[in-house]
Amino acid sequence: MAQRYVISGGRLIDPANGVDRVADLAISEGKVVAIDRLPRGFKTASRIDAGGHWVLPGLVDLRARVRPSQAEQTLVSVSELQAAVAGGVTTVVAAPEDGVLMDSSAAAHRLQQLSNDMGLCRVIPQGALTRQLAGTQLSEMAALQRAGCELMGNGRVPVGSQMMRNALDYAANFDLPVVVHCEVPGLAQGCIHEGATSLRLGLTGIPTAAEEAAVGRDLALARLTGAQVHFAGLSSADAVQLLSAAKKGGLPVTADVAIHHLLLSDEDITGFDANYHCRPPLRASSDRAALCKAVRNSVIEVICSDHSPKLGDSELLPFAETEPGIASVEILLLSLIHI
Amino acid sequence: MTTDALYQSHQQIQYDHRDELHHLLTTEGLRRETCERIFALTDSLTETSAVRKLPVLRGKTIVLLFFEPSTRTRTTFEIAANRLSADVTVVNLATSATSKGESLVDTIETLQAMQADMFVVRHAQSGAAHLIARHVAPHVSVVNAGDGCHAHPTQALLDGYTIRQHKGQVEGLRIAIVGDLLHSRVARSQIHVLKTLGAAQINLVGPKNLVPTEFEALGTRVYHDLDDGLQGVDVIMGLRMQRERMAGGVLPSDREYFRYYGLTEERLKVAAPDAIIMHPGPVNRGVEIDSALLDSDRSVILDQVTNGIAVRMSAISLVLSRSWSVET
Repeated sequence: MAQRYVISGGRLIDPANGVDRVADLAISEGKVVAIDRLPRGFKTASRIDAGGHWVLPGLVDLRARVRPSQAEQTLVSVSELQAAVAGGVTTVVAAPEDGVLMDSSAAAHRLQQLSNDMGLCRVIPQGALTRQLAGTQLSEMAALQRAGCELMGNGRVPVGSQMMRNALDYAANFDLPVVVHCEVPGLAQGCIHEGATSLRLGLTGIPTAAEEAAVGRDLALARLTGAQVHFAGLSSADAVQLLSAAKKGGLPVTADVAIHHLLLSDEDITGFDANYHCRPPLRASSDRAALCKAVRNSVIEVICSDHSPKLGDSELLPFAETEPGIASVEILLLSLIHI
Repeated sequence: MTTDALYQSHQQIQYDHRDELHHLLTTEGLRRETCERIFALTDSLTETSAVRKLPVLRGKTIVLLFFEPSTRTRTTFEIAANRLSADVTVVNLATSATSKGESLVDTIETLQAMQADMFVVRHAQSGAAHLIARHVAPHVSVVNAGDGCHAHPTQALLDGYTIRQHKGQVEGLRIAIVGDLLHSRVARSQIHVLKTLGAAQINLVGPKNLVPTEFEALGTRVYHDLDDGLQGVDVIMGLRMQRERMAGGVLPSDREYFRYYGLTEERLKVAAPDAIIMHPGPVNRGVEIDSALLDSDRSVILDQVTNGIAVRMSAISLVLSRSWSVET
């Protein structure tokens, strides 16, 4: 891209500065230098006609899986970052998981280095809360923080109550936000929301109580430790209610929801279509309505893609045996418009 | 009757563009006239029972794919296909390729090379038959012989046929299904068949662990008390109680289950005087049903077994006769 260029005729939407109108943007050395009127003597090497398009600040996706498929032996997949950029997402936060443990500063550096080299999209590592995500020993959170991890979490791996208490206490020392996944594993043996649809399809359900119980515990621990807890991927009205009450009581917690939980419900699962298999599962339409309302009322502050492309031949297996996950970063913004 | 998107998707996959039955995967979405056609065919088969073998499906190949062990269902399908003069192959996959990491669809593609016209499938996962039906060549039909906890359509059709045989019709009857509804593919299929055939009331009876209230969304009534659930019913359908449920901590013991939910002559006093007893088998005597009741005049369990062959013959020939009409 040329050093200097103009994006002209697009609808400029910049909520932070309260801008929403058709405007020209002058860019120099990768920075916006003027809106509407070009600076005196600004010579443009090129002009991008954005008529009929939106011009937005790069989107930040708080939760997207950018891990490679088994074939690629790196920490970050080029194709997932390309998908992110195609969807207008310029920063993603990658949660630790098996294979991308993110429990050492070396690993955190390497992830950032690799994604910088790809030159597509910034990747911020979420540091592992416990070593190897095993839930038995705390990770060196302060070192991870220095290595660029702006928040901590244990991915989708559950953490025992005492360990979570220790981790939250410790994270609070460094003002590190801790991301928690909300599922009591013993109650979550199924693959679909427990309700009329799970009964009709004969698939084992996951009750919303699995989420409610986990949110309840971590709200109590947030209160006890004073840590800044972020609840990831809420799916149920019951959990929203708990969160809302805690926030009204002044607890400084935050939460996000995946785009598909705002758009879809278990009623959309027809013909055992494994594309709808995700975790937490798509809930009842009443849950979906409660989540949309929670976003409008800022009980939930963040919408993320929870982008999670399926690996391998998951279309060739029965529903319960497929890997959960929906690939959505590319359509995040597009989908939002439909809500 | 729920005729939402899920219902319609079941209908769509089972009927072809000319509205003829192409696959038999679930009784949800099955049209009443299809059920009645199967029953009428069964009538004609039982009338001509002197003829042991019919030349209807000569030259057709039916592959029975059993990913899960089964004796009764597999045998009746095998006899049914043989009596229709089809070439029958039984592939027992319970311990075979798929447990070695081959995907279900890969297995099907390999087996399709056998030039099969129909797969009869049993699998431990709900939705397996749907998955196979989506992947087979267009001229191949799939009949579900039981998928996970989801569906067992031929069992439910033979149950409907047996009720019709003893009561004249299903329309207007009050029917109780008793036992482990949650894990029963038979019960789910029965509910849809009975609703479609116009049953007046379907009571689902059992402990809350095994009969969740959400079943009422299917147009049934849920009872956790046996006396309430059996009140005035014309038909009582027992279900097999899996012993694993006790070990898995869902129920305390056989003894306690039998005491509160076991079917006995005494408990049946609240039902209609001429109520019949059914069971898909195999029966756990003294767990879900009392031995004496099982051997009494009320029991039509052996008729179910006999009808199983004729109803499966009808279902198979209905599905496969469709492909003849495609050729001609």
